[in-house]
Amino acid sequence: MKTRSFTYPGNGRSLAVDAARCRACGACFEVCPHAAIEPGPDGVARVAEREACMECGACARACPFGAISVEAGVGCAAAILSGLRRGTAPDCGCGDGCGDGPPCC
Amino acid sequence: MPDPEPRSPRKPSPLEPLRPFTARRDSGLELRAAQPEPTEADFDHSSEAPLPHWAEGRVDTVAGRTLRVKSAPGLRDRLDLVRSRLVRRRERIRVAPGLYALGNPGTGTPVFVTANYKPSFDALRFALSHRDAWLLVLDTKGVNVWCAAGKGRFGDAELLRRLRASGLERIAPRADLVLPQLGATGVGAWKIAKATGRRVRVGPVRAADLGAWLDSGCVATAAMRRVRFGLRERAVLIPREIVARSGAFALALLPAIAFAWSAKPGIPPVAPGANLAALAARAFAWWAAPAGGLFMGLVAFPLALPVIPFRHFSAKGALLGAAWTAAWLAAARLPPLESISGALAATSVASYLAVNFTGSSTCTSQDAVKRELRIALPLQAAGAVLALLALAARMALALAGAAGGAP
Repeated sequence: MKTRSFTYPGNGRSLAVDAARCRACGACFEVCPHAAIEPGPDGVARVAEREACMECGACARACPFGAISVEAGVGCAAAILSGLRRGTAPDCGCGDGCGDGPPCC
Repeated sequence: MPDPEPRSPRKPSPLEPLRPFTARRDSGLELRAAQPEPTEADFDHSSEAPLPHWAEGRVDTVAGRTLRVKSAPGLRDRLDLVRSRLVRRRERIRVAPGLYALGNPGTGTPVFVTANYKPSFDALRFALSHRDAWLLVLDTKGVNVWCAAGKGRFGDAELLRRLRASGLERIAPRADLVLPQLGATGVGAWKIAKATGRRVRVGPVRAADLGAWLDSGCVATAAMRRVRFGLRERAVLIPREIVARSGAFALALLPAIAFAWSAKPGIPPVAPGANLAALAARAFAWWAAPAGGLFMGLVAFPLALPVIPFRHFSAKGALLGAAWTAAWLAAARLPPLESISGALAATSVASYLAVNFTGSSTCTSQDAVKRELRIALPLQAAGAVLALLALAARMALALAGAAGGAP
């Protein structure tokens, strides 16, 4: 494969698959941009490479059966710092028109 | 056209498709509160106004008139792309949300969903050249699909609202919806299918792969499903980083100038007869340290990302800063306090910029970045403070020396 998967230390900690709920529909593999989640031999979803998971939450949203849970958020230092400064949740301000902070997302 | 949405108190004027932001920098919250979300396409498709440069005509549908867009890039589209890679407020490069026609779409022609960030919209229409398609542009406030999905703007609610407002229920009642894969962070395909009764397909990550995807009967290869972050993808990010941080290069001049003055007795102001060229050279010699740190963090780091030792971005950045420091120490040959100051400045600046690249990178999770920041940020801040303290100490010594008459 041409694409080399970037991994990051501490990635994917919150990603969890409830195999009992999984109906092997494949919706989660379809949307994962890093192939962090893949079908096992029985088609049931499993975590293939945890540190490739950037916890974007696409798989959990794509799952019609609620079999996947992940604490999703933007992995952007500028967003986290801006959130700390304002005492809010991480928010890079992209597209808000305030243009606060460095270029992001 | 009947408006199924509750009317907002202040309806946007129909001829304001690209209303520029005029809010103050710090007024993000008030801005959101004061400007109601547009509840329908804020572009008057039926108007006889001049066509945008990317449109080639108008199309009449059962639900009103819309624009037929070009599928070949023009010079202005290319300029928009260049501009989007340079300017700070690229979210201003946008198109009006709503429904557009490409080619000659009919009642069963697939609907491709995208964001109203113009480069996203452009990538989609160029990828579908020589095909018929409906393009449904969501209001993402000029933010690309992936980022807007992460913030929920490219989301279930906006998609359903835009589907209703565009009249697609009458124009193409049973046409398939094709979602961009990176929109999946905000849009659940199964929810949309359930809510609309349509077949919803998840297209590839990159619009450029759409042709191959369609030709293969909507089967995506593994490569089409993966986000690439190769040298090219990283390199295009650099110009905008430099433009946005250009102030930092100038800011680093302030301590440099102060330091240069301090090196001469009789300051401030500069003593008469002082050798200004020598002062400038001294200022530059120190400035080269933080400026080099900026260069390492903004240019060298994105380019060399996969081959730099260590895995945490802050550590990779610190290593690049240290490498610059080694070269700088050898070249500048400043006295100990200045050397310590420059070394700390270069290293912490490069490390800080590197960890900030997590926002541009495609691979870091929020939790991982938070954990890293908890350790890296205090170290970077301490490095910067110590760098300034060392300079201040050098200045104090120089002043004391000048006052006491001893070197």
